[in-house]
Amino acid sequence: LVRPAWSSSISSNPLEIVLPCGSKKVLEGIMKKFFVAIMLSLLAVSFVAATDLTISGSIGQNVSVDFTDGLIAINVLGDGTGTLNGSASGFDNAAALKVISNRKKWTITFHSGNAGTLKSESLTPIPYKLHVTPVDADFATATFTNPLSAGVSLATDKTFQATADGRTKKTGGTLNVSVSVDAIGDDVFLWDAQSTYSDTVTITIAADL
Amino acid sequence: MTIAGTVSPVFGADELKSLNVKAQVSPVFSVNMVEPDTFNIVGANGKLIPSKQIGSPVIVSNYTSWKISVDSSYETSATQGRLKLDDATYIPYTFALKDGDAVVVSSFLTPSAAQSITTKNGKSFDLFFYFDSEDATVWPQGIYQDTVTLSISTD
Repeated sequence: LVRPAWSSSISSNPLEIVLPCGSKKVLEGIMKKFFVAIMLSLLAVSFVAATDLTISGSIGQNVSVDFTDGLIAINVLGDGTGTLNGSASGFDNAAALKVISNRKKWTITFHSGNAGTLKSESLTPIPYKLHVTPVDADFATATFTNPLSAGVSLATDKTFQATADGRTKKTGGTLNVSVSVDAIGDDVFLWDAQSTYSDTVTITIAADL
Repeated sequence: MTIAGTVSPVFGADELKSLNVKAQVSPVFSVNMVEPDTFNIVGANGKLIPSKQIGSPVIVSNYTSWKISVDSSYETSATQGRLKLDDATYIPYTFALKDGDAVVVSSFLTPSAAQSITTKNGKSFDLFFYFDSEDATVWPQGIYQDTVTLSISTD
């Protein structure tokens, strides 16, 4: 075995090739083929990398409700004529329910802890109506199904639905929530002047498909 | 090569809220009675009529416990009032404030037993005056009158 003249040029390569004497021509032929094979391989690698680059992202669902002040305090006239008209809207107080959603369709459910009545221990409960009105500027293109616009009893759960385009701005959209009490019949006993009546309404939001 | 990113959902922490609704009921407490017309106190037999329904006071109250009392301007005792013609001429009477057949008050300035909350249109009572129809006095012609005060109070 002899080392060929070009052997020094590859001696630093971890791959040292040692061939029998007189086989230089054969070696050159092998090396050319080897070189071409590497070039083709590199081309092939470059081609695959360029076409297989995929960038994808997903956005998580974000729907929520919140109150600035989760309390509605109303004055009910003791003579049984209903809610005191303390404001132009006819309601003494209202709460602003902020809705944040990055889903087009969502449903808010209102559930009363006292089946739509304000209670005070064993006294006759006061039935009330819940009103929900979206602020138009916050939901310019949204479509709603809203049976609560004119006020409705929460004797059973009631829903407010965004059926299309219900996505909000980052800061959310506002639903005005208020409460009213209707007048009672002449033969119905008055509500007690010395008691505080109350109810808790649980509000949930869920994204719809 | 795939590069993928996700944004974590914010879901659950704010999806449920509670709204507290509280109501205060303003007090209502009133008594009203239509002013009675002048009536003829002497019957066809020339004697005083035995009784007269003076009126039907109506009390509207959303207090759970209240009382009513009656006063006269010219009473001579706890149970006897008088209709006055002049400073020397009076027709005596007794009275009863009734709830149906039950007497609620029959003594001046003596509060009734505790009454309960009323309906929206109120609780109606009947005020009767009773005269001595056996009295043989010949009463001078004129208009006899008294002022009766109905008062209600809470416990």
